[in-house]
Amino acid sequence: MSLAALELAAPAALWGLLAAAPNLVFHLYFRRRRRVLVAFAPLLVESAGLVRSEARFKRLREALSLVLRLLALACAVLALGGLRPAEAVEPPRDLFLVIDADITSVAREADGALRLEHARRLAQGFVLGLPTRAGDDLRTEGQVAVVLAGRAPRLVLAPTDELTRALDTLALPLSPETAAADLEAAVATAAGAASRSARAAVVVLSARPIQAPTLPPHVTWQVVGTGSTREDQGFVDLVVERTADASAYRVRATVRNDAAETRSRSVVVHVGTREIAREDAVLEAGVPLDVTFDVPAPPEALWLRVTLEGEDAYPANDAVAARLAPMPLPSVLVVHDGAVRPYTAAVVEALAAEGLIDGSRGGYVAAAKLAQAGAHDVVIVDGVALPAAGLRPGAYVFLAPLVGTLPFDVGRRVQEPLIWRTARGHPLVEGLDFRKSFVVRGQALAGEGLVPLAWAEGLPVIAEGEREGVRFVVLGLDPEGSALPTQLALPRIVRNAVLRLARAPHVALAPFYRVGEVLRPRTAIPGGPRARIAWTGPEADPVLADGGQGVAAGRVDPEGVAWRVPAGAAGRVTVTTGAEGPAPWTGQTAFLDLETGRSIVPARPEGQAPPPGPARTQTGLRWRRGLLALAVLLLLLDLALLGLARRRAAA
Amino acid sequence: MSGDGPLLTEAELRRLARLRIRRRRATPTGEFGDWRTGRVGSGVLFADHRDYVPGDDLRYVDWNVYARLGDLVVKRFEAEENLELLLCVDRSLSMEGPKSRAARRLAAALGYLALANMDRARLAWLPSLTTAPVTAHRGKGRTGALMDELAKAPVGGSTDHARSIGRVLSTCRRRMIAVVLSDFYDPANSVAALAALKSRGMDVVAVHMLDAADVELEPGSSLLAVDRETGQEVKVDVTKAFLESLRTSWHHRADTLERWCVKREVLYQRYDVALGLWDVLADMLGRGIAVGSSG
Repeated sequence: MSLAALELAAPAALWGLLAAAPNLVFHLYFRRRRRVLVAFAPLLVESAGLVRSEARFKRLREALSLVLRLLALACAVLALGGLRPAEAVEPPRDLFLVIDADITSVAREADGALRLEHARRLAQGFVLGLPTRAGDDLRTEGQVAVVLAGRAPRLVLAPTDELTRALDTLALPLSPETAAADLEAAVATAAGAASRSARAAVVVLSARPIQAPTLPPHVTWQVVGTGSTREDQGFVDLVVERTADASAYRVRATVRNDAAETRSRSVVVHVGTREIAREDAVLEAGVPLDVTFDVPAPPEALWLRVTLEGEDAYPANDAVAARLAPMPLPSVLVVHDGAVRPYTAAVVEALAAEGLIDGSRGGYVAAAKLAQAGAHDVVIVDGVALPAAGLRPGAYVFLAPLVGTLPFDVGRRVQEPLIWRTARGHPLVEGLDFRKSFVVRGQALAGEGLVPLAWAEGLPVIAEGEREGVRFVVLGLDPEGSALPTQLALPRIVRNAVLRLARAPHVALAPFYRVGEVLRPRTAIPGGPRARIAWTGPEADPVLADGGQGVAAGRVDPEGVAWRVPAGAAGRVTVTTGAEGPAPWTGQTAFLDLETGRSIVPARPEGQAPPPGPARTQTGLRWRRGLLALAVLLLLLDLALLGLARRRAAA
Repeated sequence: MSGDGPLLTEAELRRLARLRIRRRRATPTGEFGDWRTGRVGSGVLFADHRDYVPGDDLRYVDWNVYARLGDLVVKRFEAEENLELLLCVDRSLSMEGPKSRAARRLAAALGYLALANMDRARLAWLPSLTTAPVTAHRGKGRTGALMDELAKAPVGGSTDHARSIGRVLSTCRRRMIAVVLSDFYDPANSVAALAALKSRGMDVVAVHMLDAADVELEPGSSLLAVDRETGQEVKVDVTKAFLESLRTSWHHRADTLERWCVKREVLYQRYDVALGLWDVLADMLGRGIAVGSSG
């Protein structure tokens, strides 16, 4: 290290080197050759020759002693003057503090304080450690600014050199975000401002890992941890599905324990304000645990809340929610050619009697009068040809014979097939057994996007599909020309098809969508592909309070990209969708910010207690201690030399 | 020389009256004096008898013995002659200080003893800074002049005893007691001077003036030692070992000189200036060096 790389914090201390003068004078005065008159100099010459080595040692020791003392004095003076490396000395002129206010900053550390509070104290420490101007203790040499990393960077303290202003700002509690904060954006903001400074330091106070930004050489970079607690148990996933009979929701919540030891917590499920399930969960360290509940479909839309009871360091992931839509009975309209076929009428009546469809809202209509019929959840086309304009977006069940305008293609006829095959496990053909059936009249099905569900002679005869907003289930079987097993199976197929198709209009949106997921309605929105999506905070729900709100317009239809759930809408909102035009259509769902990878456990060690000041102080202190130690060592060497001389003289 | 008062006080002079100069062996001087020379001759102090041989002076036949015993014997007498004392006092710059005063006091005492017995005392300075290398004094009346000269002669010059003694001997033809008082810091030269005196048949006494201050230097100091006489400069770091070496060397030189004196029958007397004049005189008296009891 060259001398140019060193600098003194207090150059005035160099006056202390004047203390070397008395030492030097003392040495020269007492070690000078005093002139004395002697009676007979040859006698001295003779004796001096005998002890010349002794004299040389004496003079060498005295010179060495002087050098050691002067060096010790120099070391002490340099230590008092604060000699240190220039790079350590060079104080950042401007300090840009970035405080991470991510939702995880509400984690409570072992000492009981929030991470954000730790960050605030650390920031205070950095500000207090800034060098102040000579003669003005209330102004810093450089400027200090504080950027709060929230959803968007927020400048809570504009660059200032007023120490009191900075401390006043940092004396107030900081507000944590309710969602993930964009730390990178905040760092980029601070780094951008720091780049314009002549000399600056960017200090990030966060518990999260972060990549160092690209900075110019005159900007230093430092990350100080604000916490490292692992004492957290929380939800990392939630799945809500309908049961096969569409009578209930199946809820599966996944809980993970980040603590180092096994913990016991209670998982509680509320629908609305009613607690419907509670289960004690033993959570092993680091092992995800699935907790499953069946929740009956509510008569009206209600919030499903799954909470984790008990305390931990991070409560924000102790609750998740979904919007459970009601499942009303669908209405069914049968289109016939003037008279409904008895078999079809019997099936519809049976469904109404079973309570699977709403018989009061359904009915029968001739194909010619379909245009005058109102909207129904499911339309059964009972072997008639629909008019050209009669096929509107909606749900349809087509029964053979298949004629007229159809959303699919019809193939060749199928007679007396010997081999049946079904798509095993599909809910539409669930419980059917065609092994002993044969068909007298049937039609093979074809077309793009068609999903076959049952085959005869290798050709699909039962299928489902969707085309231009028309969702359909088609049965290429003629009940009247079929064998008894087929006739017995058809009512179940029709029932399944009606329920399957009826479900979608009422639950156009899933119970919840994760952040980043594409919002794609299950059915077309009446009024056109253009849609408006609005979301607001949940209605007075204590668990899901403090939501955001906003409006987004976009293409929302089954074919196009609808709308991707933004991070800002995380976890705390409901959404309503509405089509532009005279026939609004609405649906409700929830956005959940369940980032399965999210954890409050930082990827790097926790920062230490608030440092007394910038690192340069520590470096200077190390140099000071080193120099003082060297000074003491030199004095000890001097003493050792003196002791050696005395021993030699005594010998 | 600026002394601290008179060289000898009245009390010291009265005390000196009990002493006399003593010659170690007879020295034929050719004239009578008051002091037994130890040599059998024509003095008045009876020594012993010897048988008469023809040619002896009949005045020395002991007729009383002949009357009682019938043997012709002649009486023998110790020769008596006047004592001549040569005081050679080193006044070179190396003698400056206590050595010089002590040497002058001793010289004054010896000179007083000589003059008080009506003998002759000569004083020679080493080195001689005047044209006359020796001043002669005789009789008790010259005591004051001798004292005065001893007290007032300045210190100066360099040690060159051989040359100085040579000049002295050129003016002194007679044998005498030569007392050389010096620190002998020029050993070879000094020995040559003593040998020259001895070669002239003189009874030589070397009084070695020793001052321990000459080898006492401040321990731990670094000195530029300058020789008072020659101006020679020596850089010295005074260590304990150096001091020990210096003292050893100093004693060794004195011992060497003493051995040389013994070998050449030169009486050697050390005079440590730390001792008093009377201690030295007592020592000389006890050892029979130059000083004897008057009784």
